[in-house]
Amino acid sequence: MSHAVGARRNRRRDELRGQLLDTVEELLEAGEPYAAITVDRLVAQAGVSRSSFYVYFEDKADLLRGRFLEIADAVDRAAAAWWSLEAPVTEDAVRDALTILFDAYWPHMPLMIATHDLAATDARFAELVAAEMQRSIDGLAEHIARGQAAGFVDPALPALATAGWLWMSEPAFHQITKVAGTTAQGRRDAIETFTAIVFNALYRPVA
Amino acid sequence: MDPIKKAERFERKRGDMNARALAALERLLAGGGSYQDVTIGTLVAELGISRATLYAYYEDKNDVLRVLAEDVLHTLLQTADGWLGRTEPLTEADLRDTLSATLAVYVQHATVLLAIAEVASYDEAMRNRYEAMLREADAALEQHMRLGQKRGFVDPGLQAKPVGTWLTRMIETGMLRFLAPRPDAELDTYVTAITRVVWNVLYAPVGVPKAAKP
Repeated sequence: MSHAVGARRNRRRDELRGQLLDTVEELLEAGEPYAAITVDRLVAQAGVSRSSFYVYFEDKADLLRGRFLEIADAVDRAAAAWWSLEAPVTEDAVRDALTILFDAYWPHMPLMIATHDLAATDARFAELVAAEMQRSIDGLAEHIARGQAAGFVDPALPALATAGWLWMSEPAFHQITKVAGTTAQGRRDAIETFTAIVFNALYRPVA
Repeated sequence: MDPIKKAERFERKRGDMNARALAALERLLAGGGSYQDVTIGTLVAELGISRATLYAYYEDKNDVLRVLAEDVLHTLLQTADGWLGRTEPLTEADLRDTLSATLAVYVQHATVLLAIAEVASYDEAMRNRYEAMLREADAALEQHMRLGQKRGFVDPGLQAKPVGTWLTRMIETGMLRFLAPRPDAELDTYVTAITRVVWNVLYAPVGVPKAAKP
């Protein structure tokens, strides 16, 4: 096999895989419950054959896991805007950083909620979700500790435990969104609320 | 026998039975047992009563859990009321006491609370009951914040409803899903952290005197 043919085949593989990953998210976004989505529906919707599905994924849980990890990586990259805040941290700076985080997260809300819900009854998903949350908590804890050393975060906060509490905002936000829906107003309100909480909790200078 | 007295006696017995059933279910779930694996058979065996007696009090297994949920959720709200029901300024130490007591309820009843949350993920009646408890807590914190803003001990710049709801849900999720399953975690450090977070968010900016440093 020539090098060019191999490269073309790899590209084709990536395309098919990407199509399938997009499809599971499109179905969830359309309001389909995860339990109602079958491999047959996925391949029909993505326009690929059943056999090629199984080239890339073991089952539909494997597909969801793949997409979840992609999104988690993007959210982690977006969180860098928060982790890299420097003194003096103003409320506007917090809002800007959290807006970047929300922009990475918001479009994927149905998939993130579905994955977190599955974690309640499926041990493998529970592990996956816990590991991703821990990565974010560790990133935030490191930022808090650095801010305390530099004097722009309240030194009375235990860094790791505080990060754990603040990151509980993720499941809290899922609960709120399930009731309120994903409207543009809901997105703005959530950014405002989380900004007020994070700014007061960590950075606001107290007389 | 006087029918009113008879009804009272049954209610008293029901209360005793609920307490026994709660303890029995917690014993069965201790050590990581799943609620799904608990059957009416294992439950009556653990209680040392007949099926007929159990069915005099409860319709089925989920009904047992629903009734126990009432008691546990009521205890939770009552405990949290030391903070949420507060109408005057409080110190950081007051806040810590209530949050610590609330976490203790979550840890003590972790297995049953997690079973309630599990059943709520597929049973609408349980979901509605649980959601109602959370809404009650949301509303209590919102009211506490509004009152505190009027009286000058809560940051006036905060939107009481969304901030109150966010904080209740954040604390509830942290206690239920993060800490209750790991009673070996450094609970004291987590109590210190959430106390300080809530303190900073709501009260510190308006300069309520801090609790004396130890």
